[in-house]
Amino acid sequence: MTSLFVTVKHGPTAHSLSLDTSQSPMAFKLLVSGTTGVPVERMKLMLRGKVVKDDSSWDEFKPKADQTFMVLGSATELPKPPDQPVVFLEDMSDHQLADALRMPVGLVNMGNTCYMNSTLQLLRSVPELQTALAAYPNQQLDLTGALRDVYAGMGQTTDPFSPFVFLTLLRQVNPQFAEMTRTGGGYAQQDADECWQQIVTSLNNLPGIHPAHRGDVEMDDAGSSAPVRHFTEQFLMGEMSKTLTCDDAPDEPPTHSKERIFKLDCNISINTNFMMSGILDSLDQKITKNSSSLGQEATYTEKSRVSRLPEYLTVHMVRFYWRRDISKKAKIMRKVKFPFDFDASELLTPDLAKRLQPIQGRIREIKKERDERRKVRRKTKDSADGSVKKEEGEKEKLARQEEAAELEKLVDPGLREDVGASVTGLYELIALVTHKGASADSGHYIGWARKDSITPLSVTASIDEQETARDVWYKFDDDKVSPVDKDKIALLDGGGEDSTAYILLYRSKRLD
Amino acid sequence: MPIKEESTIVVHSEDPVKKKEKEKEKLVDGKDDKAEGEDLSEEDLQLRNELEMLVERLREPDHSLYRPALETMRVLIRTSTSSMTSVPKPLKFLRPHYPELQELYEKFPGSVEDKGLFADILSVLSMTYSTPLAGHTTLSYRLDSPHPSAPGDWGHEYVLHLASELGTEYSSQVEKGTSVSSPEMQKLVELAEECAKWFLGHNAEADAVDLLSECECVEKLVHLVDNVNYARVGRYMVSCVNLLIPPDDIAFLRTAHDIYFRQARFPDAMALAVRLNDANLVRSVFNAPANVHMKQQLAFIIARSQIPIVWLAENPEETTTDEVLSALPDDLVACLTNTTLTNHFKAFGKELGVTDPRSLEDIYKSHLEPSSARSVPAQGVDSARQNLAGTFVNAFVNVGFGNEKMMVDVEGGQSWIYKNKDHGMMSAAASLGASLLWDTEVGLTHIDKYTYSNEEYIKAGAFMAMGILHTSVRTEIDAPLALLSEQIENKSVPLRTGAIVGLGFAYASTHRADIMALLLPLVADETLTMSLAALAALSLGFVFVGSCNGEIAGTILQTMMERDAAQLTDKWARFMALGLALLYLGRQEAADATIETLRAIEHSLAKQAQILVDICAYAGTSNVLKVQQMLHYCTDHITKEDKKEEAPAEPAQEEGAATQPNGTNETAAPSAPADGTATEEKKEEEKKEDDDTFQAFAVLGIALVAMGEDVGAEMSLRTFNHLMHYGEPIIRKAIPLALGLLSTSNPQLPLLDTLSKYSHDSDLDVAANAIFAMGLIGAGTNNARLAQMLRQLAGYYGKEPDCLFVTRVAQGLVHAGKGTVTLNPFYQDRGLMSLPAVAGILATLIAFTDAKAFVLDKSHWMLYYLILAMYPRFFITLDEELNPLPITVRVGQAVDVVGQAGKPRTISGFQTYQTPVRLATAERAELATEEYLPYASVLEGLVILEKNPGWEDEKMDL
Repeated sequence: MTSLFVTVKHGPTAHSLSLDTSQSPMAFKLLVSGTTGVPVERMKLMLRGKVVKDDSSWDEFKPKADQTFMVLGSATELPKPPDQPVVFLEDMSDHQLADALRMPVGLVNMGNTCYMNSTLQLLRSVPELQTALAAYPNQQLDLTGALRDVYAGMGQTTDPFSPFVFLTLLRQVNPQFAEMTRTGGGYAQQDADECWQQIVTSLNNLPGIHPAHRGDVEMDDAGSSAPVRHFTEQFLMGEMSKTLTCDDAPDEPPTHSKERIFKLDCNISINTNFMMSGILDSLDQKITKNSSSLGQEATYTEKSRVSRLPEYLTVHMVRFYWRRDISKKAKIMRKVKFPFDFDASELLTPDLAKRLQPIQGRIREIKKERDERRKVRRKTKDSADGSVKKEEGEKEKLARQEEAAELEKLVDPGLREDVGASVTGLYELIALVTHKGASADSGHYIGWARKDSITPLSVTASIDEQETARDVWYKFDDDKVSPVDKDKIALLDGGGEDSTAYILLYRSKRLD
Repeated sequence: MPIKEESTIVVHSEDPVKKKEKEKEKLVDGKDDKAEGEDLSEEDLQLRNELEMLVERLREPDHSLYRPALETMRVLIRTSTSSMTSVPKPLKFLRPHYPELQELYEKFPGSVEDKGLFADILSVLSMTYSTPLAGHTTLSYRLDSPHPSAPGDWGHEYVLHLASELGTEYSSQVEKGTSVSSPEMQKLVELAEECAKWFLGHNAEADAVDLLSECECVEKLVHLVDNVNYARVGRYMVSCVNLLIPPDDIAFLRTAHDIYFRQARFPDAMALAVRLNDANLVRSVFNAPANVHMKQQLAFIIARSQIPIVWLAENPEETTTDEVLSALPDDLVACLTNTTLTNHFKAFGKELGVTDPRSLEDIYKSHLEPSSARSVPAQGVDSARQNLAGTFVNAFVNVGFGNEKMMVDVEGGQSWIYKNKDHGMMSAAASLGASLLWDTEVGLTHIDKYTYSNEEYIKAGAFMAMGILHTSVRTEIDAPLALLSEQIENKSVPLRTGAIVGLGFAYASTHRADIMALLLPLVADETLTMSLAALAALSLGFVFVGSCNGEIAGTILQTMMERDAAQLTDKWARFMALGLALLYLGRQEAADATIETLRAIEHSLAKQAQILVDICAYAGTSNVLKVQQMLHYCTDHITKEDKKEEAPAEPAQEEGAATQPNGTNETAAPSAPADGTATEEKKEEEKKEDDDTFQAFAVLGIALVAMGEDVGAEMSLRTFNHLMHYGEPIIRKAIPLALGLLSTSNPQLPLLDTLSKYSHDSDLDVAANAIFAMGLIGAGTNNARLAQMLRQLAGYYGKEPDCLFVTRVAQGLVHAGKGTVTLNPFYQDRGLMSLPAVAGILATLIAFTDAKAFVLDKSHWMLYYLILAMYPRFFITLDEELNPLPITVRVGQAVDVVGQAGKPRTISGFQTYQTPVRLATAERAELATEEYLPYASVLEGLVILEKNPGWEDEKMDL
């Protein structure tokens, strides 16, 4: 009798089969295959610590009745490697890595040029400037063209970029940047604020953006109906109304004047703890000048108020001053807190303040409502497949669209016409330049920019994700770029020799 | 009287309580009896006079009066009652006459009977009078007496006194070289037995054990104890074992075993038989009970202990496991082979509500991590390192449940395996073995798919997984042997590695000769690369753990002697040494011969091996001498001295030496030499490296030896603290690991703080090891505090890939099995040490002594060695049909009740649960109902319950 009944186990299921030991193992395998569905070529049949091979004979195994065989192998497909091999972080070149991580590139320090590098990075976080520069037609080599080439170059590479042409031009246009150090060791360190001013001034030939279709750049010679202002005038410059009253002669009528400004100065005195108080301080000044009515030197109070707010507002911490006693430019190390959200309404002329009031009120309300909603969202538990969260996100997006539309209606018509003017008077910090070190002639400048001002957020991300993404900043230490946390930025308010905020770039809050 | 003077002085210094009396007596002796007498009450005075009269009688020549006098004296002494603090009155009044009585006794003319009586009384009297100089008078008078009365007749104090003199007398006799079989010694032993008997009858079990232990005859206890006091005796004896020096400890264990065995407490007897590592005892205990359920319970203990099943056969060497198993009924086989473990574990998980697989993010909770880690953008880019960490986290967290979403429950192409790079794929494939752990039926089918892969690493990992899957489970099919044996001779190194390692896992602690036949040739083959030979030796170490197998030991020693010195310097060599050491795990002096042989080998590997063998042999014994020996090894500052010597000779060399203490990459050394000087330099460097590697092992050794006992473990903590301050880098690196070993799966707060401190060490190797140790001490506990610490570390080390990797692994370990498993090698109420578990943990730790060369390099799969120690920390009650039987139990902190009077509670701060429950390392369970009686003595793991025959349902009464 050569036929035995044996148990064949395949996974947890057991089959009872009859084994004919006079036939080859292959025959039995076929039988098993028929029962379990495991293809013979992928089948392993085992008995008591041995694999039954196709060419072996049953004598080796001496199977007995009721013994258990184990079948390995599955009827289903084998796992397949993915079509596209996974590329790992560790295998990438620096190029690919920067690309994958979408890190912005740094700028090479070409001998004490960190003041320029950090300023360029600061300017880079103005997307409108990028748009305007991209359309700048001038092929001749002026500073604007060079700047355009710098930014274009930075967009194309992942290696640190050397803005050599720009630097040369900058030094040609502004010879003070070509100053050498007194010890003769190359070019001297410069003031980033001066650099900022010079660059912005020399951008005055850059055409602005046409009011009719914001975002599209209108050429100078496109024959538009209204003359388009220059870019800097649109987006970077504000207007200051100044009132001069004579303290000594109250009867003398105050004189009014208007002035273009690039920036707000924040004077730092012994009492200055907050940026706002420093700015207010600089707006109200006492000056001494010859009074026409008195015919002698008199004290005047100059009261300046902002009558136009640009989309991008620059605040300059006046940290360097000339100390006569030691004939040196000294630095004020005092800690001055700067806000991430800056409300400029205190600095405005009454007229402008009134125009902005309705929208500001509404924005504050909406902010409160949004916080409420976020709290609720955070509390809701997600379902297993994430559908609840998704739905919540969609709802939030809709709500925000409605709010944006509502706000749009509240915008002052006059301001709406004025391309590049802030329509809200509320600002958020997007970039800054810091100075590290004790004196103006030495030290090191570093640029910092909020991540979403350099690389736009992904559209697919949920609202909450976008909001957390706003807390990530980039640090531009010349050629080294690294991500840092928002908390780190808040620590840049001075009080020591470490990096201290020097130029702050605020962007008007968007209506979304 | 010179003796008198002396005695007074001695008593002064010894016993202030009695001082007053002695001073009084001095007065009595000195001048005025009457003056003293006046202070006494009338009753006392009468007593004194009576006693004095009796003494007077003895002085008289009339023999006939002796007997009544002595009898009266005896009655007076015996009937006197007194408080604990003062001497009984009759003794006090007789004391002045003691020297006189002594003299009288010397020339006592009375009958033998009377003399015996006299000796008895003197023996008692001398209790108040005996001095070191006077010798053991209590004892000697007693021995003089031809028919001594039972010692208990004279009260507790007398027996205690006698016992203490017996002990000292016995040891002094032994020192003198008196033969144990001599009549004097026999007499002492007999007396000791008599005292012990009395102690046992009077709730003084500890005294009985101590006395017999002093007289080197603890085995006599077996016949002295009864079914009332056996438990207390047994408990006391077992708790003594850690404090005894060999061979007393073995004698104690054997006696305790015999006591339990005689009292038919088979689970206890089995536990001790396992602890003794004695096949014959295990077999006899296993075969003893007639009750089939008791047998099943014993089978569960055997399965948990993973002792070789062949031990149940008459002659283990010539029997195979199959033969043993086929002779047993099926249900018993199932208990013995752990095949039901997977079902119980999954049911346990279901009961606790942790069946659902956890994702990586569930463990990392990165939204809670400090923000600096978050800001590193990783938009859709896979980091091989992080994915590899994810592989391990996934494997550890979802261990045994077989339903995780990354490897098992995925569509082929999406498998996480391909998210790993090259050697990472090996670990990823092997992780299947972890997540399907113990489930041999379903698991193999899953894993088999990957053996057809074109990727060599995946195949290798699949083979490893097959082995891991079978950890602590044995099946009739013997699939690992069938599938892996053919890969042993494969050409490809990864495949061979997978097969060798897999066999080590699957057959750990089985002592199977067929595995030896497979792997031993690899060890012996000198042409084989060191890594494979070492891993084969290590796998053999696992399979034959604690076996003292001479054939394997001989082969490994042979290889060490014959292999090229350069090969032995290879980083893998340490695992060959470990393989050798594991053979002697817990076997104490059985390793001595091997250590001697190792001394003869000149290569520095021999020193490492020597230490490894030594520490393994004494693992868990808390042998103080071994700890001291290891500390000696640690005090050498090798690198420094070398540096001083070499500095003037060769400046270049100084550089090499200078970088050494900073824990630079040690693998850098074996590279092709450029010229002659470089070779020399390299040699020097290598020598130094090897020279201090042994120190790392010595540090681990301290923990390994001390971990068996709490006091020793605590002392070693202090030692480590010192070493951390003054030790060389190699020692500092090993200390966190040692801490992890000391308190595996037992996150005590002080230890957490210490490790947290070390985890911020400026030496990143120390930090990484500390982080891993944090994972170890929290393994399977879900400890929230530890989880928080690790999250913080993940943020802190966001930019250090090595530390981040280890942090992730540690996070996975803390949540291992979603909090249902333990890595602690101690079980059975911390009384037994699981040899394969210790072996597994030790192998991982040895890999971490040079983490950069192994775990942080390409051999990260060594982390899976921890799985050898992984076991569910459940307590499941089963009915007699072996089906789960939910009953209420109390779980609380274990309390040490050894030597306590009465029936103290064994747990404190308990809470009541329904079984199955999970037990933490320091917890104990007890049944909350008397409806059932457990077959097992220790309530953990799988316990069969029997309905209490005396149980009456309360409802019926109402």
